[in-house]
Amino acid sequence: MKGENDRQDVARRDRDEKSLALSLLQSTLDSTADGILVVDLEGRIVSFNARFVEMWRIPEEILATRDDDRALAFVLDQLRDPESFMAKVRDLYAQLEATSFDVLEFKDGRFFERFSQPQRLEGKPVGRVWSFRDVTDLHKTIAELEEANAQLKELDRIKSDFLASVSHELRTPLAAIQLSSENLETRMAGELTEGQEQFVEIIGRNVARLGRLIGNLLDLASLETGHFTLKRLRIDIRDHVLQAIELFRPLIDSAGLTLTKEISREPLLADADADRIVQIVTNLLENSVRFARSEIHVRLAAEGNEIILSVRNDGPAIADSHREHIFERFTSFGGGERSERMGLGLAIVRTLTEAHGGRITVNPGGAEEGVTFSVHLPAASEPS
Amino acid sequence: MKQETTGESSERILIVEDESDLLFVLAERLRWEGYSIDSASTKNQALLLLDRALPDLVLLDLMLPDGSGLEILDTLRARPDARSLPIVILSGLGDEKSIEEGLKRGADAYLSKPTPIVRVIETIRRHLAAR
Repeated sequence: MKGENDRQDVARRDRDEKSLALSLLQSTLDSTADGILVVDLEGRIVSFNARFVEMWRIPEEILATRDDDRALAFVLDQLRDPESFMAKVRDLYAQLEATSFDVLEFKDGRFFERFSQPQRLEGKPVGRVWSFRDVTDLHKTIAELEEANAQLKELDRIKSDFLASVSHELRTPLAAIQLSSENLETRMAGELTEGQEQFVEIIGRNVARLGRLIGNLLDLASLETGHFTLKRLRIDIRDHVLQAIELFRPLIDSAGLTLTKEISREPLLADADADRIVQIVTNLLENSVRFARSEIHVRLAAEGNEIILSVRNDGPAIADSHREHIFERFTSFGGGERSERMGLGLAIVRTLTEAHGGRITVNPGGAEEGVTFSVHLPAASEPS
Repeated sequence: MKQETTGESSERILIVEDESDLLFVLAERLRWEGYSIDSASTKNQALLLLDRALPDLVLLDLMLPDGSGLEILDTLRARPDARSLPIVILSGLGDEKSIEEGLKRGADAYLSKPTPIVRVIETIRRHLAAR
């Protein structure tokens, strides 16, 4: 009898443990954030968790019947594309070992990720586990970001097109003004008085300045849209710096400034775009002419593997707080002597310098120190 | 459409330009420099003039009211008698892509507005001499 009692005790304990394990398993399933459905090889519902019912909003009475067809019909009715849902289900029942992942879109705007894996008992497939994760919020956020991104791209394109077309529209009347003033200068329409000559000179100078500004605007548009390539050749940087200085000489003279220069006697070879080097120097000189009190100094020398071009003016120093922003487009500094808009020149100098693999620095501040911009360009390393 | 001559021996330039002020100042200056000037302010006018007789050089604007100067360029380069006719583009389109496109399609030089007139004249002289 004792033996019989013992056997019954063992059997009861075993049953209790199994039932505890099962209810633990069910409560674990019910606590997961994913909806889980287990079906047998024929697609009959074996088990599911509370989250599954909640996510699919399946009424109790349908679940109570365990009627797969009714449950499936209820599910299909909610989906935007029920045909592909069913195709995937049929496909997976045909391939017992297959796993799958896809995203379901609901008519009411929800999105579920659907995972499917075979359920195995002692290595053999006995059914299939489907799990569903609600990713509606994630999808909404992604869609919003994508839309915002598309809008920004469109705005950026409009801005660049606008810049390019404004620049172009400005060029033709500017060309007519320039040619008229140049024609007057040749005296082809008769002699000029000294006063008239002076006015013609002023027109010419300012037309050139507007031309550079328009060029910068266009460059900025092409730099930003990526329609920009350097035509790099092995050049002696000295030639092009001197050329830019000569181009600018009349403007420096007319501003009553003196320009001194200190140029290396040795060739300074670099693989660079000659026109862009002239543009870098011209923009730095233009900036200096605006701020210099009496003097601009240009220095060009090799240091280590770099060619360093420095343009210094004796104007008011740049406050430390402005130093970081000085290379931004149209930076505006309030107060003090430098309460001016900086325009595009320095932004373009920096972009062109960096496109050459170089960098630009501005000297640390301090009162009455003047301002020095230094462009560091990589020197040509091996013979061409 | 204008056709003018200042002398039998002077070289003839066709200016294609739709902006009348710019056309006037260009034509006046080039005439003063000793060239004979024809002018057209549309693509079709230019093509008509070019059908009648070829000039010694074409100074070509690109954005014309009835089309692109590039079409004139293509038409000329397809004509056996105009294959080596000097064509200088003078355009408000100054971006690299337009310049590349113009040169690729057969222009001898590409100047973007505004260009100093001495540079225009120097370019014209060089290409007339190189014919």
